[in-house]
Parts: sequence; structure tokens; C-alpha cells
Amino acid sequence: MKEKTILNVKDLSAAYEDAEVLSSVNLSLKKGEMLCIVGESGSGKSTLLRTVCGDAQIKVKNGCVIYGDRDITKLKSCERQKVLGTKIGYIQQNPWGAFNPLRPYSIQFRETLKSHKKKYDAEKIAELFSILGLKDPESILKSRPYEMSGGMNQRIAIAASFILGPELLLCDEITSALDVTTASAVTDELLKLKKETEVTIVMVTHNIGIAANIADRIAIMYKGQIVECGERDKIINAPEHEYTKRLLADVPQLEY
Amino acid sequence: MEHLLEGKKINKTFVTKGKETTALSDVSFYLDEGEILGIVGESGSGKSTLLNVVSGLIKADSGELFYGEENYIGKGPAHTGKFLRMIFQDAKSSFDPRMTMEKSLLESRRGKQDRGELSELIKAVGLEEKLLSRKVSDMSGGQCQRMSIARALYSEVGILLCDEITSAVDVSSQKQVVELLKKLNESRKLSCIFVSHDIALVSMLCGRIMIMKDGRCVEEGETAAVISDPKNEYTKLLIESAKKQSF
Repeated sequence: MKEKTILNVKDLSAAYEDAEVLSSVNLSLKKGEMLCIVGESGSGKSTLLRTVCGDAQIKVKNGCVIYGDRDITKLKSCERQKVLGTKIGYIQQNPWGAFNPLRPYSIQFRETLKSHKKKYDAEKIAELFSILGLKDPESILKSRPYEMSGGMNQRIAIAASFILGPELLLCDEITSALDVTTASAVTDELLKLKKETEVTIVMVTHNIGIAANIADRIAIMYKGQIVECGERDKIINAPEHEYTKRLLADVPQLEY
Repeated sequence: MEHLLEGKKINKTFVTKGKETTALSDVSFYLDEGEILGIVGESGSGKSTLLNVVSGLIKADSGELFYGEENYIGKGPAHTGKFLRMIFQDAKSSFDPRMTMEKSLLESRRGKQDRGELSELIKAVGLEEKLLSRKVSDMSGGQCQRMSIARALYSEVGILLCDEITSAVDVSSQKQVVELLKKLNESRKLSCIFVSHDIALVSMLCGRIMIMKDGRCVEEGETAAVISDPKNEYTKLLIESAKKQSF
């Protein structure tokens, strides 16, 4: 079966003012796959995701990002808004970052849906909540983000990005701020949701151990470049680049 | 045998807007000289509250705390600072942004300053001496964390209380910090309480482990014994989750 390419990053170089963060990044993404980008702090993982989202602070120096058949780095901000959110979802590390902390979730869900010209569908939200292990959707929707724990908020943020039915979901270290048990529950639920909706996911993480358990393919980033990219088993069992080997050795392992 | 540090039946309840939350209920622990004790639990299990009580940053409602023979419960950080030092998750915010690293480190010692020892310590934590002239804004998270360990060592205390010190850094820096603590524990007989939610990381470092849940200690023992044969349901869940993050 020929798989459709959903995102194509070609020879992308990007910078914050003078500091170049990405240099000649090439990456392609097949529909329905789960790609994990792994690297240390400062390697450019998040910048890559933010360039795809079109962050205004990042200047694209060279190359392009093709989504479908359009170069989304050249879109005007209003056109980009239409693609972002509806087609491309973004979940960030800070669980509280996606919401206004003081307003009830129901209002924020309504506003998001309205701005993308979609109807508020309480049933669909309840369904998403139940897959994500959130009980009693009505009382959750009435509550406010500051009243919730990090794990709950991250689950609701995932629900909020799925409610628009994205084709591509960009997850930026979504489990780094959560403790180990919550993080593993959240990734399990995300995988369950991926199975139901067949969404394509790019997950950024610094822990290759997480990637080893969930990814179809893994890309290793180091100093703004992708140094190795391939099938999960190949990267984990037969890494070629020295940096990949170091990353594998640094994963905390249970010792007993 | 007398322990270096011991807590007996510590209780702490927080009251916010008339609602009571029990953070610690009858928690007892001990730390021997030259030992690293690991405390593991999820967010809200009371790990950090316990360290804050031990370091005198917050007062316990009841219980006893011993440093050697001295019961120091109710005494603040001015007193506990003589024998223990706390290292925080967010190392960057524990430094004064206007000061150079050198000044911050020198300030931590009450007695006579010793530059030679300072530069030796910087090397011992795996940093270059030139970083001493930098300010906190020019350092990475991992560097700051090592600098705060150097600061704690320079202040000549025997006990370090580490509160999730590796949670904000990437896996490579995590490993470096853990190996540094291991080395210091061997070479300097450093005693340490290492709090983390990551049982895998704790298992690499600590000889003894204490599992906390909902403000209680649910399991305690030698690390190898607890991990290979967990008794408590929550401990089993922790180990299972940790396995999902390794291979």
C-alpha cells in the first residue's frame, strides 16, 4: 500500500534573530504514523515544531515546510490560522499553557470551536473525555484550569486539540512536567485516541526510553540537525550515530 | 545505633479556605551517615513537604526531628543551615540573578573563605572554573544544578536534601547529576535524601528507598528488595510505569 506523505520538511534552516537553531533539516511524515523526535535541551526539537506552526519569532532562512501540497511557511498569518488548529494541533509541555486559568473549560471549548466555525458538541467532548480517562465530563467542563492537577489539565488539553479533528498533532514534551505514573497513563490514552482517529503524531521528547515504547519511527536531533532517522527497532537496537548511542546509555534503567 | 538524621511521626496539615489537606500523616524516616535515601512518590504525595519540614522551611504540626541527639523540631532554616542544605528542582531561581556564580558560592559559607577549595569543588562537580564569572542567565539548567550542588558542598554541611533536582533537565544531564552524587557520596561520605518521582533514577543511586503516597510512607526497604518484590499496589504501578519508559 502506498502511504500518503502528510508533512514534508525540506532543507529547513531557521533562526531566532541571529542565532541559527535549525540547519538543513529534512523530514517527511507518512499519514497515520507516530514519529518521535529525540534530543537534548537546546537541540532544536521544539523550534522545529514551532517553525511548522509558524511562530512569528522564528525566521525561516532557507527551505520549506510542505503540508499537503502547500508551503505553509509562506502563508499569510490569517491563512495559516485556518490550517493551524483545524488541520494541525499543537500540545505544549506546560499543561496550563493551553488555557486561560480562570475561565471554565466549557467557555474555552465553545470559543475555540466558534473561532474555527464548528458546533459545540457536548457528546463528542464526553466521548473524548471518556477515552482519556476523564470521569464526569459535565463537572470538569464547569471547573477552571487552576483547580485541576497537571495530569488532568494535560488530558483536557489533548481533548481540546482533538475536538477540532486534526490530521496532524504536534506534541512538545507533553509528559515532561508530569510524574512517571501520570505520564505513562497520558501516553497510553494518547495512543488509544490515535488508534481511534488515525491521526498522525509528531512527539518531541528528551527521553529516548519513551520513544522506544510508542514510536513507529524515531528521529534524533543534535545541535539543530537530524543526525539519524529510521524505524524504531533499528534506532534502538542498531544505532549508528555516536550521539544516539549516548542517548540510549543515558536512559535511567531500573536497577535491582 | 544512632542515626544521623531521624524523623518520628511527623504530621502536617495545610488549611486553605477552610479546607484541610493532610500532607504528611505519621511519617517516620531515618538517614545514616554516608547513605543516600531515595523518596519516591507521585505529585502531591508529600515528598517535598517532608523535605521542607526536615529543613525547617515549614513547621510540622507534630512529631520529632533529630540531628544526632538534638531534637530540632520547630527550629527554622537559620538553625538547620548548620548541618543540611536543600537543593531545589528549579536551580536557576535559587541563584541571585545579579550575582556572579562565584559571589553566590562564597556567600554560602559562614566561616573563612578558601578559593582553592572552591575551584577544586567546581572541578569535582564537572564544571569549568571560568563559569564562576558567569551569571545565572548565561548558564544551562544542568550547569546550574551542578553549581547548586557545588554551593551546598562549599557551605560545609554533611547532608544534602535534593528535591526533584533532575526533573527539569534532560536525560543526559540527569545521568550526570546522578553520577556526580554517587561519586561525592563515595569520596566525601556525603549523606543525602534524594526525592524524585522517577523510581528508575532512584534505583540507580539509592541504597534504600521509601515510597510515599497520599502523605504516608507505604513501603520502605533496600532498593533491590523493594523493586524485585514490591508489596504495595502503588509501588507495583510505579515500577510498571518506569518500565514503560525504558527498554
